[in-house]
Amino acid sequence: MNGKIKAALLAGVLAVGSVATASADEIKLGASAPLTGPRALLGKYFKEGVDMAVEEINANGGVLGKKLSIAYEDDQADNPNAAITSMSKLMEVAKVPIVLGPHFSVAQLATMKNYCNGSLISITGASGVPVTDQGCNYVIRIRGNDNLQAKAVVAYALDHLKVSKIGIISINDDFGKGGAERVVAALKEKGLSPVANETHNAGDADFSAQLSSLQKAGAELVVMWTHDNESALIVRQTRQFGLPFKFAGSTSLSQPVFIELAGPTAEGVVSATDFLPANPDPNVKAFVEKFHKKYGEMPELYAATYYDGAILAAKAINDAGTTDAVKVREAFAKMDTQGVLGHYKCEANGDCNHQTNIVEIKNGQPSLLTVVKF
Amino acid sequence: MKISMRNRKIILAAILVAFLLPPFLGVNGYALQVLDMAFIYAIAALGVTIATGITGMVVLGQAAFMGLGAYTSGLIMTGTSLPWWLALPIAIVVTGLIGAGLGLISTRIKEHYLAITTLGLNEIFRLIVLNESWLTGGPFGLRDIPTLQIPVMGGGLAQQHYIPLFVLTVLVYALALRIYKTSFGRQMRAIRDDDLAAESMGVNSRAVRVMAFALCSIFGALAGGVFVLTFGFISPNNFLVFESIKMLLMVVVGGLGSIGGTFLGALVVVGLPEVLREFQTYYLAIFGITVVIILLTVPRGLGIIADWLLAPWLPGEEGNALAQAKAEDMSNAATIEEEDERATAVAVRLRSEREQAVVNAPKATGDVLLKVENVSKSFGGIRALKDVRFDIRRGEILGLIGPNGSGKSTMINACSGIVRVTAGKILLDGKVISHLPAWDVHAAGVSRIFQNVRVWNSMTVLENVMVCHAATRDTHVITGAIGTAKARADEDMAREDALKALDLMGIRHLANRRASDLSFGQSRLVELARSIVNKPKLLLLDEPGAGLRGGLIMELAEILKQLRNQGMTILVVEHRVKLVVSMCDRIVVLNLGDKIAEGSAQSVARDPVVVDAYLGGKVERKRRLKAIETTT
Repeated sequence: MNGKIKAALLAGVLAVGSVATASADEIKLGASAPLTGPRALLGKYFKEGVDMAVEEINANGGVLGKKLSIAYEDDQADNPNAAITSMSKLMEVAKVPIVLGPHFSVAQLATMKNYCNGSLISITGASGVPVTDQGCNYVIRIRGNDNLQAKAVVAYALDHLKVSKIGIISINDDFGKGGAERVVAALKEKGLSPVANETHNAGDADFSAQLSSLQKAGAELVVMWTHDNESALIVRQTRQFGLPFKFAGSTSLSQPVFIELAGPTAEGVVSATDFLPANPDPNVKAFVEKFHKKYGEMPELYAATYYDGAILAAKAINDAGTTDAVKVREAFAKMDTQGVLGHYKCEANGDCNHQTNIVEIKNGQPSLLTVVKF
Repeated sequence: MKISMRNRKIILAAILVAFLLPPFLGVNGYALQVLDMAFIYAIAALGVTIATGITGMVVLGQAAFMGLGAYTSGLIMTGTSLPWWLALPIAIVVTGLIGAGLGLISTRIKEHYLAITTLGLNEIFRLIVLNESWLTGGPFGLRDIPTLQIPVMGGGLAQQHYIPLFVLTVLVYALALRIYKTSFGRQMRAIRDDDLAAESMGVNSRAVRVMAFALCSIFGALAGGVFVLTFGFISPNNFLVFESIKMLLMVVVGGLGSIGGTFLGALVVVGLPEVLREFQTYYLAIFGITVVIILLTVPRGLGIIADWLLAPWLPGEEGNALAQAKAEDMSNAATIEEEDERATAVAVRLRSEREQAVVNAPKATGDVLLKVENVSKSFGGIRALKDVRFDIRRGEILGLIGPNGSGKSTMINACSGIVRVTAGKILLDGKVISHLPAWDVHAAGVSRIFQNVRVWNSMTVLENVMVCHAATRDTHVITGAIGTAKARADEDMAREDALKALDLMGIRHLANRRASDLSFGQSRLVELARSIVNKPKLLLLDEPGAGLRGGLIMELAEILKQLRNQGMTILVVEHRVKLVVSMCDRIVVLNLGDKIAEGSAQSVARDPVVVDAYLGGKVERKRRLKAIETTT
């Protein structure tokens, strides 16, 4: 009896192995996305972006004359074990040449040892710096890495805001710590160091101590690397105390939550972001319109990133004239094209996007100041 | 459907061979990788089974041990470029030591407090790994660990590792099965079933808990190290509290405490979600519902299947030595009447034996065996014992009586080391024992039974008695698992003595029964058998006759006399006056924590203070009330 159960279980595992593989008249790509778990909402945007791209591609004649379809597998966002099996299934069972995702850096890094043997290409928006320095030839990154935003904010502050005394305030977690470190590094490149480097804990409500030491240090601009709620409180308290700092910082400062909570005090706050729905760029405008028409909501970063990912994948296969991963990777190396997030041109390590947007809050709306390119 | 042990071995062998086949049948790398993962988790979850399922300490932090093993071996390989076969053992030893340290904590923090503590430790582990990025690589993990290449097996890493991982898993499970059956295994189970009884029967619960924790962490570390060699990448996210809970789930789905069930549990918890992946966003919900259904309908189902298959290696199937006893048990229909008849027969036999041997029975010598010196015990504001002093002379049966709440049980608990005295001391053969832990008191020669029967329900009757045997008392995990000549000899001696003790109680035929299947009277006899298997100097009996019927009472009285004739000294707390008077040489009377009388049965029965304590006060007060009424 036990034998039967085990056999059934084994048969189940094997059966999953034997289904699928693309039929002759379609080309199947994979997607490894957070379909379940606490970040399932991001997976939903991911899927909406990709589905819209696939619809467009198929309406325009498909890939190599065949219909394009996507096999989705769940990687539970930042769960390395789930990502390993999800990628393994796409690689061994569906045998796809390209996978969109995994998006989370830790999931990318966990799966690289497996997929980097040339059997498939992963197109990702993972922004962790190590993603493209692992010597893996088959990762294509279509967003700037974490360093880029910090560099862009610092460069804009120095060149356009003409400040030289810069202070930092960050939240005491991996997001804030990493961000603050990168800002310090970016300042160092310009031969500067922060006049003060303050931290706070998640959920703090009173920032008077940090603000007063920033004031004592004579900061003209404060770079913030913290979450939406805390950012709003910091800006509000600064204005209540009548302190003169300007603010710049992470993507949090262009998010609706921040703008709503900070109210009028949000005006003039500068931040770096990879995707701005209000960007007047025609590509972005067209994408936002299409997305809003199809889904009745505004797109966000995930939808835009993996919309671009799917479009690029189709283009690369068409350019290569085959689905062979090695040839498709060569096509990526020659690619030079405009997408929603920016202009794509791939370096040898797989980094294809070298720009980010600098945004300022004007009249309660984030508006584009400039695009910083590296 | 009765399938012999031999056939079960054949079935198991066939299943094991079937597990070796997939790589040769061209099964895809994904399925193999899932099974690889299941094997690794099966090893880690086995640690949880040992600590939680077998020893009864809920561990919710196994992922931290796994992570500790993984990071230690990973860092050794990347940092010092030592080969994996050095890194892995070092990691296991380091983690095992840390686990033993935590085991020491576990002797102070128990049950759900321990569960929460291990949960907290898991989180602390994550935070340290996350923040100390100079060492651990931080949130992006350790990335450049060399994976173990085994080109002989061909194919990708999943194919290469499949058979080595499976063989390793089988070996680890065989080791666990072996440990389960040794004296150490019995001690772990005794602590789970009833730690108080285990301690007072000589089980050093502190040592056993520490060892069990160490074993748990060692299995975790082994799994973690193997994980690193297979996947070459680890990050804090691999070892979250969620993973610990998953491992506990494997143990629970596998029928808490079943070794084979844990393997099946790991297959289900790792494999089932993968099989259900087709359901996309709903697959984990379906998995959750399936688990709930398994737990509702067949709560120990996987465990029962696995234990049936592994029965040849589990206790309770000792083979030919007990086949005869077993056959007797089968023919013995255990109705109450027959039970009674049997007990009466044993009593008659024992009495006639005693009468024949009465000539050379040792007489009570009169020198003091146990000295209770001015002992007091307070529970908060209540003083259960006040300045009590009395002696127990070698070779006598001393009765300890008194109304309810007079401190009799507290006295017995103090003598057996279960409660610490507040003041005064207790000496055995001139040595102070009142400060020793219960197991050392037992080792010094004091044994006891409890007022409410406390046998270890999940174990066989034979095992119940063997737990207490002095030869297998020390926790020798390694020699026991290897099965050295000495360990085997000790085991045989313990078995033989246990069977003798059961024989004396007239219940040898029950040796292979599970203790939970016994009647109350039988359990009482098992308890008595295990308390005398070491031939203690002093036997403490807390109401041994409570809840017994006529025949069994007779048997009990005869057994006690027999033990006394063998030179054992007995302290007995008993309510039945007839039993006390017929049995005891002397009697000590307690009332409200004070000793109020001491002497022969007759003199105590006539003592006015004793009469007053039992009956007198109330009668007198009534009379006075009446007097008041008549005057008004």
